[in-house]
Amino acid sequence: MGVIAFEGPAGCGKTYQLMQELAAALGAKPLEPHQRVLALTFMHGSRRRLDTRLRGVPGLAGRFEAATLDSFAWRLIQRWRQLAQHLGHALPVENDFAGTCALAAVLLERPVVQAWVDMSFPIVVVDEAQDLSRERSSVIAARARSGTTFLAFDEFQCLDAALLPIAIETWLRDHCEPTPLAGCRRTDNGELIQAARAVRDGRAVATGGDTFKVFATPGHVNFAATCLANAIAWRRRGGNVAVLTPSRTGGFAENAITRVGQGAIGRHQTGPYNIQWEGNDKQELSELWTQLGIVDGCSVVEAIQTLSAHRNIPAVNTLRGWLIRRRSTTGLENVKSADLLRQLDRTLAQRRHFGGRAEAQFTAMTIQQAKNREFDHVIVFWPYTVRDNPVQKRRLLYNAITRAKRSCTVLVQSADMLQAPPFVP
Amino acid sequence: MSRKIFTQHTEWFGDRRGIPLWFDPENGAILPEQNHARQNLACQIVFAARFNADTLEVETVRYFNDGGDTDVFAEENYVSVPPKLIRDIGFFLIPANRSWDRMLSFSSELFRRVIRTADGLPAKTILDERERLRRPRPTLEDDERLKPVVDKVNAEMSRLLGKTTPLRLRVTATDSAGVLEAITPHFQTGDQTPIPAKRQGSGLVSLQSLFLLLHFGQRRIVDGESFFMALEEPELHLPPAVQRSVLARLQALSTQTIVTTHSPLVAGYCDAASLLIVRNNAGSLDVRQMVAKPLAQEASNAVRRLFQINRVETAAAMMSECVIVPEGRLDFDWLALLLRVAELDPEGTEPCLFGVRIGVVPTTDAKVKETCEVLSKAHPMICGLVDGDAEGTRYADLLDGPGVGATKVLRWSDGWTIEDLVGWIIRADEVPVMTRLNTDLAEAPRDRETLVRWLKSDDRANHGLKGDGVAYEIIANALSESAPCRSRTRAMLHAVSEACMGVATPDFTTQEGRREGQIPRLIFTPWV
Repeated sequence: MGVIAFEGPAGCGKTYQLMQELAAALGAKPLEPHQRVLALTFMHGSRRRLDTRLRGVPGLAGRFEAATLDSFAWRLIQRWRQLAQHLGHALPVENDFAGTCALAAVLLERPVVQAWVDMSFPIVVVDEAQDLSRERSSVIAARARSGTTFLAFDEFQCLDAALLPIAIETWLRDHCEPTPLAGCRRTDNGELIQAARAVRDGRAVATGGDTFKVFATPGHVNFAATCLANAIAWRRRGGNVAVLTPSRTGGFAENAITRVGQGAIGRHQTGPYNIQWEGNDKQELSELWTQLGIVDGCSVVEAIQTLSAHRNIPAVNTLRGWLIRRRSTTGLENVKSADLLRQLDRTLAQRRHFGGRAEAQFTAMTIQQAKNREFDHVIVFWPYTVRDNPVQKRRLLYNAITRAKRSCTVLVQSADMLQAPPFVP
Repeated sequence: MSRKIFTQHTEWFGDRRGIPLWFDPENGAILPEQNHARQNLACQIVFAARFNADTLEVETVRYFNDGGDTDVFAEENYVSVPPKLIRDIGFFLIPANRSWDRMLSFSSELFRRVIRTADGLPAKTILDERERLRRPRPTLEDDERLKPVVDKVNAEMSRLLGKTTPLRLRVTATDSAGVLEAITPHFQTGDQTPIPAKRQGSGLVSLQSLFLLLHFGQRRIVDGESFFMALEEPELHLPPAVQRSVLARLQALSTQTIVTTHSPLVAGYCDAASLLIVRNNAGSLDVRQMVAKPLAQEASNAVRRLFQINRVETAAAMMSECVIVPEGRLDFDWLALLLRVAELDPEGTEPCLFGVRIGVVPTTDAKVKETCEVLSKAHPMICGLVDGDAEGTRYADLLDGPGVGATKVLRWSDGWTIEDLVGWIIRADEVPVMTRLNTDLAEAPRDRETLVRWLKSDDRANHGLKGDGVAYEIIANALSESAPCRSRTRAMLHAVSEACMGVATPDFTTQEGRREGQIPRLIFTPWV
């Protein structure tokens, strides 16, 4: 019983170790019929990956629940709302994640709640714990006072400077000595491993490798675009490609991607390649909402007609069902767009929770969006506009490089940037 | 559940089950954390239903209650209770629209469930009976009147199909399900032929059926399991004398009995603290305990009597729309007699809704204030009814006090007590009624004034009739034989009920000059 933590660089097999520990714990003490394992993490993407990994643990099929910390905390305060009110706490609103987690932590301090969570979830697994804010970490800390907690984190992979120093590590100091892990399980490519280690350690990066390359593409957009197209065309053994950038402002990555989509380019006339920018959650919501064009205060009948016209979009179809039900249960006649928008947000979150996005072969996204994911080939666009301090720049580049399994190409917007962090100390 | 800690009840509590709660028997509170040893572990489950006007279907959910502030049909974020749990606790509901001969057959889901949970299915006997039914001697198809027809059918079939599939006739389907369904309860009196239940009077059928269910339930209790019986209106089909003994058996044979009733007899059988009064206020249900907790030792005799010796009368009154708290037992008796007079009126065309709307409480010791205080916790419409004398005014003043909870107070005319009211009713047809009374009463009072004086006096040596039940009956009887008196009684009672319900009536005058915080006071204005 207690807390067991693992710490180590990207790809070193922290999740693998978590699964090993979990399997061993279950072997020693199998779950009772009413018990399940609770797996918690911060983001939807890593939750889904955690879910997949847990399915692979022998005997765990159907006996675990992988949730984001926010949704676990939300459910906890909902179910214990009587106690929360009894203790004089107001219930936070739905998207107040910090408030939700803070209240969940307060509730978990109560012996009755603790015992209730323990009886259902004797083992809690936490992955990517470096991404947890202070409030989210407090949920883990409160919960870990009893039962068994397995936890994995890598401080260097925390990209949000506001979260530093990471709360979970501060808390862990008093509770257990994390087991350091080394090696790399994601890739056996020596160049990629070397490059990532150099960035992490703050040494100069070797730029001219076979599978790891860094070069400057100053001047006209066609230069960067040609390099991008070639990198895609000449990648070995196919595989998916992710274009990553620390910042989309300034258009360094955007322009090259647009150009590559328009037609073949360069001396070798490679391309065209259609690379999709992956939207973030807010963007997805607002684009879909604009597409629907529902007016505040319009009649429910009108709104249902509008939604029916877009039923082929699964989230819209779900929203339509919700609205029909809502009309039936409450006799609603006119739509409040704020209500509908909030429900659409919930629906999308639900779909991200369970479904996830389809993985395209060529995608582009920010390094933050790529967190905890992996791709066969990674192409990094490193623009002028990265304003962070040297350590933060290294964290970003490190996270980008370590997403790659087979190759990584870094395109830098000007030659002199190669003489500054994160490429040299 | 009180003996174990909640984490041992893994079927009931947990992430996919309920939240533990604690029930305080002292005050009926439900608490999210235990803070006293007397509080029992509890699990709240809710049953909700709605009619979906779009699909014309009734939707139902049974879920663990986390807090009663959400619409489960709109939000759909609830944890539902597995049906197995309901089976496990042995909860059985017998609805009011029961038809016992159908309930007590194997085609009844309830009956089969009871038998299954009690492990009482007579499988061997059923299978033997099935065999016997399959091969009866003699057979119907060999009957001399049927045989020629059956033979012709067989011949026809064999010509058509080229093989013989002889027709056989059996009294019921002879698979085991068919045999089970065909079982029909019969009742036998003495050595007479048993009669099918559906031809039997309902009382007997319902009693036997009820006890059959109860004894199957009893087996569960013997096995250390619980058995909860919910019975709608146990008074149905049962003679009043039997109702109480049936309730006693119900309580003895089940872990907990939940009963709905319109019968004060049934309600009066239960402890007042376990009675809930359910009212339907324009669609929203109002549920209140008859008394909040078991009566404390220091409760006044008058209050204690309401819920003990007089609990049937109190329960009957509390089931009404509006409750009148008179000064004393004699007022209660007189009002009951006058109501009988009013309701005996065969040609009464004027409405009299007193009996339908108003319940009268058997107040004792003139404890109007104390009685109102207790009853107003359980009922939203409590009216005091006091005499027109100085004492009556004093009682009325007490009702203005904080926390008494009476909604208004009615007062007879200045100087009047209930006996003056009776005298006033006699005046409607004075000569024939007094003639009649002079004959019927043990001693003739001769005139009305004397009668009223006697009625007010309990000095038996000097003709006092106060509290003399026999004399009251004789007077009521005389009133009921006079059409003008009946009609005056009806009109008076109707006026009282209108005044109680807050409807303006010329027969009650609202007293002027009442201050803020004082309840309305209405004075009876007699007519000639």
